[in-house]
Amino acid sequence: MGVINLEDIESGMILCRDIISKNGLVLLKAGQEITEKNLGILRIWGITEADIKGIDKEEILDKKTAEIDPRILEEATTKAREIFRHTDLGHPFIKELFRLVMLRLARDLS
Amino acid sequence: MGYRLRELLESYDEISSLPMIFYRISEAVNDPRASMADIGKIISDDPGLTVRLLRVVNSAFYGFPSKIGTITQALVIIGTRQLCDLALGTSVITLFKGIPEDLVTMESFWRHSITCGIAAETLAAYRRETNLERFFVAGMIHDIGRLVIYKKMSQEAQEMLLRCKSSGALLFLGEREAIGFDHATLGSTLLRSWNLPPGIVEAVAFHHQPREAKHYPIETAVVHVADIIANAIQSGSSGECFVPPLDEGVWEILGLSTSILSSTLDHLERHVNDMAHSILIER
Repeated sequence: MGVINLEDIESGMILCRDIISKNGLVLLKAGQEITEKNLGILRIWGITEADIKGIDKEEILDKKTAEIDPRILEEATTKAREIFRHTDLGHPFIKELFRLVMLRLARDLS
Repeated sequence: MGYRLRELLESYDEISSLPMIFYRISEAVNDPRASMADIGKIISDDPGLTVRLLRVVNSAFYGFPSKIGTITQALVIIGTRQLCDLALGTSVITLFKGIPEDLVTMESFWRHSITCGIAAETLAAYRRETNLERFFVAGMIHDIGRLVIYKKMSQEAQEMLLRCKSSGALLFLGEREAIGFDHATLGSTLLRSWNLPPGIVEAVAFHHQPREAKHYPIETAVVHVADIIANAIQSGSSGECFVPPLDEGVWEILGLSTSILSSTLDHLERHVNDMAHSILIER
């Protein structure tokens, strides 16, 4: 199991835990297989993550960066490191922000 | 230090007082006898403000299905308080003219401000806060003190900017070192003299040291984090080249999951251009 971002969830994945909206409504039950239609509903309800069976968060993220041309990846990482030089990259919020900025820089470079 | 700060603000005639229209609007808002039509009439008397407000409420950011054609309609749909907040936030832009653009272009400055405003509003929405416009406004004007510095001390400001850029230092720390206080203190002093809501004043005052905010910790934490996001994606700049450090424990106060970041950045990418276009026109 692993909690991953909605954008990384694909139809066919199995939920480990109920997805509950901010106002307490159960949107999807644990054990359910996610469909394309479900994803749209989750987006409308402002759900941003889900706990998925047999998934490792780090693995998904590594796969994403592995798709980028290594030269572009290096350039984007260097640039992001420079912008983030005064921050603590070990903090979960900064870590996630850094990752997203780096991916965007890589996208703009390629 | 106290003397210099006051001197800076007092010598700046154009901004030492808010345009009359805001006093008329806030007076009407707080007057139980004033009707929505009265408030609509006051806003409609200012054609520039009317055009700007209608552009903002008709932007994709609000996403209303049909066009809002009049201020009265906007008041009904968005709410009186909220529209007045928007009027304030978007019109502060008109107060700052003639700032040397070789330091920071005004386009870039307001782009950073709008990005921070939308980011603040988005974070607040994830927290299910009400009256989201006040978060937008606080984010929108959080760096306003910098404009006073650029206008009144352009020589010193230029040296400060270049020094920070080449040495890789943070600008707000450079300000404290060079002039004894930073843009957050300066900006909040100005906003307080305008009698802006205390929540906005405190969020601006402590957006670089949010744990000092005693009365409005959430507003301040939201602007602190929104500013970090706006600097990280380099959407415009108010002069700062780097992402300001996250104050300890502040992200935790918000009680949000880091998974909201991806969609927040997408949201910014979609809406900042549109909002910048709506607000910056005819400034």
